[in-house]
Amino acid sequence: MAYGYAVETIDLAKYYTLGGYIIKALDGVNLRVYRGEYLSIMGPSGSGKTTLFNMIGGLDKPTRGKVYIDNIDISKLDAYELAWLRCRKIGYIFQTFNLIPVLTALENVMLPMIFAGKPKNERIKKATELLEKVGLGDRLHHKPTELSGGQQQRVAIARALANDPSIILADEPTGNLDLNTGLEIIKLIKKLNEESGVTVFCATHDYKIIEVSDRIVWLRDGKVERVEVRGEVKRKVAT
Amino acid sequence: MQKKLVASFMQKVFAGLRIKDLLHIVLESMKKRKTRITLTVLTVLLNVALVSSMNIMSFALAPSTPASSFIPISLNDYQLWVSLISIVVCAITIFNSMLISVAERYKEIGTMKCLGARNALILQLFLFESLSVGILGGLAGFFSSIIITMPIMYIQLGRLPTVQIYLSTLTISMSISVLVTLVATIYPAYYATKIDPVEALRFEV
Repeated sequence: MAYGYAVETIDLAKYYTLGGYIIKALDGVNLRVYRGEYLSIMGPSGSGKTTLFNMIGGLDKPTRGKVYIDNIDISKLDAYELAWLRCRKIGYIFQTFNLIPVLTALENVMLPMIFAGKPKNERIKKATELLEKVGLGDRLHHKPTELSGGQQQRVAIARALANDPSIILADEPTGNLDLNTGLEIIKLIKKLNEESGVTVFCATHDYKIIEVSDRIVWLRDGKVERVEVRGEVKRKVAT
Repeated sequence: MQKKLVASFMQKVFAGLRIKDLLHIVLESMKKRKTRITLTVLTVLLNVALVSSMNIMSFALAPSTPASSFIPISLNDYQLWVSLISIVVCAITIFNSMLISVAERYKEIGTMKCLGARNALILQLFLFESLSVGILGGLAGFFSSIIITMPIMYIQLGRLPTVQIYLSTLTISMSISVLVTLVATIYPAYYATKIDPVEALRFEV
């Protein structure tokens, strides 16, 4: 039943208890993400975007429902297997970049490969290739503090791709960037999505991202409000 | 069968562990926190210097050379208590310093976990850090104790301690420094492995 999807969530729900009240961060989300798709999650803050991300990344356990990644039910995995999944199958891009400040760009990209136990020369080769791909071939040995915000996000993108993941989870990748840099990052992610066929799962407030997404999921109060294909949105904007 | 089980267990614990890479990360993060690391090393140094210089002195002052004695320590009760107190103080300082180190890297650890780092790796990161502090402080403390005791011995007794005494003192100081730093890091390192990545990623400095 869960065949052919990169990510599938079935009746996914997460409730928090806060001061005696039950807060429904997610309330029955059914999503199917095709392989190679560029999917955007739009919604106001507090609509459950980040919670959905944490569920899909295996960082948090759902109250109810299931998450399948590449047809693997991640609720059945133990901590060790979840670490393996995060390392090999999922690439993360954060709003605040989250590079390791003491390591250079190259070493930051190599980090997931160290966790995966790849040999050193293979790591260096792959990391250099990836950094060149994101346009930072001349910044290999710079530390994050010596890079601009856009460049840091590029390093983070290269890091997300280090172990050839099947999906990339991007949580507001342009949230901390100015308009032009944000646009460059969006284009870069789209380019990588088209070239390597990696599925992109992107939470955002940013309307620029709609331009490049295949589908847009609107989330409100923990529920899927509507799902739109890019063509429809364009038509709406035009009229 | 059993061998296979053990092998798979070892693989689970040590898979992906590359000591050289780990050491590199540890050294880089120590370089970034120079001041605090220096202070911690200084604490170990003072502790080890105190214990080992007392040991050298009491050996040299002892009527018979304890070359054949199995236990290479010759402190009286009073000196033992002083050493113990200094060890406890040193352990508390390291404990505190390592806790700060974990707190500083809260988000970093969360990110690493998010990228697929296993708990074993996080544990190793901090144990390696404290181990290097212990070895550095132990060696520095031992050599400073030699520098302190040498002139005193020479002036007061007209002779220098034997190599045997130095070797036994080195053993004591290294084992004290490494043991104390490792024991003091157990809790902070354990605490680091328990960090929830969801919590850590939401955390803003």
